[in-house]
Amino acid sequence: MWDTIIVQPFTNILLGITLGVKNFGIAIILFTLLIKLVTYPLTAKQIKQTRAMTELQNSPRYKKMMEKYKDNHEKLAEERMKLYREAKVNPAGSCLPSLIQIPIILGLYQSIIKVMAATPLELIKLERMIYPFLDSSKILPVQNHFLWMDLGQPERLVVGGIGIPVLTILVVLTTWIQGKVVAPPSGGAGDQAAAMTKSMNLYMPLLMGWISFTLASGLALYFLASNVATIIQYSVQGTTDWSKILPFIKPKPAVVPASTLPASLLEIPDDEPIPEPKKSEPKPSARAAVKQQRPPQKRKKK
Amino acid sequence: MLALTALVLGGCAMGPRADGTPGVSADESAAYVSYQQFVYKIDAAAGTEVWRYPQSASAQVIFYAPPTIADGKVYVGDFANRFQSLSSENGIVDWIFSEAKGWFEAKAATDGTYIIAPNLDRNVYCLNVDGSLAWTYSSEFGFMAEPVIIEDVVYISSMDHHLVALDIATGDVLWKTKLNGALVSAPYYDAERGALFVGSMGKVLTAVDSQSGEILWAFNNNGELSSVWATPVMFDGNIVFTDESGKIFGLNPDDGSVNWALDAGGNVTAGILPLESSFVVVREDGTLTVYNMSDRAPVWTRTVDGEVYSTPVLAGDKIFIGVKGNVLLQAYDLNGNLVWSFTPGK
Repeated sequence: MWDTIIVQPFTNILLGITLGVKNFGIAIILFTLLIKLVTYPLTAKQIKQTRAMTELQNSPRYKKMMEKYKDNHEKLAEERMKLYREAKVNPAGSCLPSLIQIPIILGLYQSIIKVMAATPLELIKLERMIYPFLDSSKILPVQNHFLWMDLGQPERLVVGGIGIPVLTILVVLTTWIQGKVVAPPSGGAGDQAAAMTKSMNLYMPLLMGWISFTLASGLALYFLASNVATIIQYSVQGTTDWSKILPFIKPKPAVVPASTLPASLLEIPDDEPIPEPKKSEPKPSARAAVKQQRPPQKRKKK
Repeated sequence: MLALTALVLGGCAMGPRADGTPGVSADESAAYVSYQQFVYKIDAAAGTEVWRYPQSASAQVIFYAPPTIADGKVYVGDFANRFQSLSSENGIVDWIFSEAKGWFEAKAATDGTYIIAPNLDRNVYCLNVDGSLAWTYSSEFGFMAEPVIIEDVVYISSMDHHLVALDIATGDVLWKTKLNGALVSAPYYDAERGALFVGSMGKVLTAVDSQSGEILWAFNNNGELSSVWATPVMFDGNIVFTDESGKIFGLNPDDGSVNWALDAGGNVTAGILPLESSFVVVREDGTLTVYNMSDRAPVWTRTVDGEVYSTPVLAGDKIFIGVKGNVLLQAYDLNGNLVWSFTPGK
């Protein structure tokens, strides 16, 4: 079932591209970009949801609510859900598109593994997956040689007798950059998600690096292409923050100025006092600040 | 999402990733099986383990290439890019060749002076019997087939669609003939005609002159043949082979015309094993059938406990079958009685 719906079509597309471009390395890159393109609506939705959620969590109303019900968790959960409903923000909205992408990524991974068949048994199984309109005798076996790499083996560029894992280094670097610049702005100090993101930014590059160092370089090439494509995709959408790794670039505001939420949801109701923001907390959104006519020096720098 | 995906992928990062089948060799006293983390020597009479190599498992070391047994040695390559010579008596390492950059999937061949070890790194390594490198032959693709040594010539099937003849002493190319599709099995050499017969993933069986490399004829059953995964055999005046779909053909070796055809009733990737007056066919699903050579009538049928992808081996009065399933190796007598099954202990 899984193979028929996901892996077999992916494998045939990958083989079809390979047949067209006559190069498996380029086929992996093109296929990765194709998958990114197909899943773009999901990614865009995820970015939009994340942005809205962050904005909501930085709003004075949200903070007021957190402060007000800090000792009543049940009421806090109820009020929070009410606010989410009003704002039409789905708390799972930012992770659902990601969850949908998991089978696609795993399918892509498995199809790359299958195409790099290294034993007769794997070749037999691969040949049986090929759709009749593709001539298996012309496609198989796939040429694993790409640049200096054997895509079926872990990659090392031998310079002066020393094998340098160039691809592994690039995967580690791009995974780290991706984690840094693509991560959404924090919802506040002590934010669990922020802590998790920070921890992930440390461990993910190491984990991906280890996988790239030990497994076939075809997979490392896929990781690299995927990382670069993701960074470009987020950059195009204006949701990257390069100041996190390039100090000479001005930092982005914590909250995106062009709000995706109605202003009324971000404001504190007129009958309620404005809570004093704690020093460690991020400043409120620009829009909310304007509405409340707060002093200019308290506005977030743009 | 990335974390979950990475964890799933990371689970695979502990060793070589490959799915293979047991590689079986045998002589009258023992069977040798390469499978996953060990090479086993199994007593042919009792079906018990004599030794295993290495003594403890390593995630990095995987064996699928059938061992080559010669002159009291066991020559076998692994997926840690190493080729080793072991004592057939006790499995102790004699030497290890570790200059290859890829996996050893194919069975090696030896003439007693040289050892020809094909590798997936697109090289064929010719070693001296002391493990030193004599020469290498490079191609555009890796090698999965056992070489054939006839006098001073090595014939080797290449995944780059070529059948190649090399001088065994120097590695010089004597001739190189492009065929249709990747060649994943060894050619059969017919001394009487001086011809080689080899099947391919290009869905054709080709006869090639062993002196010149000239193609003598090619058979594709009018475009109906499927891939041929195993080496053909010669008996009863026919060149006999199966295609993947289970069609068994007996061809006239002089012109490739069909003398007879038979249907095994299921996929067959293992080669045919000729006996004295009969021949053995094993389907992938483990159905083992012995047919009469004269009229191709089935003599007996047994079901092996698992899938079978590799050619059965005859040694002494036993047929050894490598099984991908609940057991690793089964031994049958020539009347179809199961003599023993071997399952490795922990």
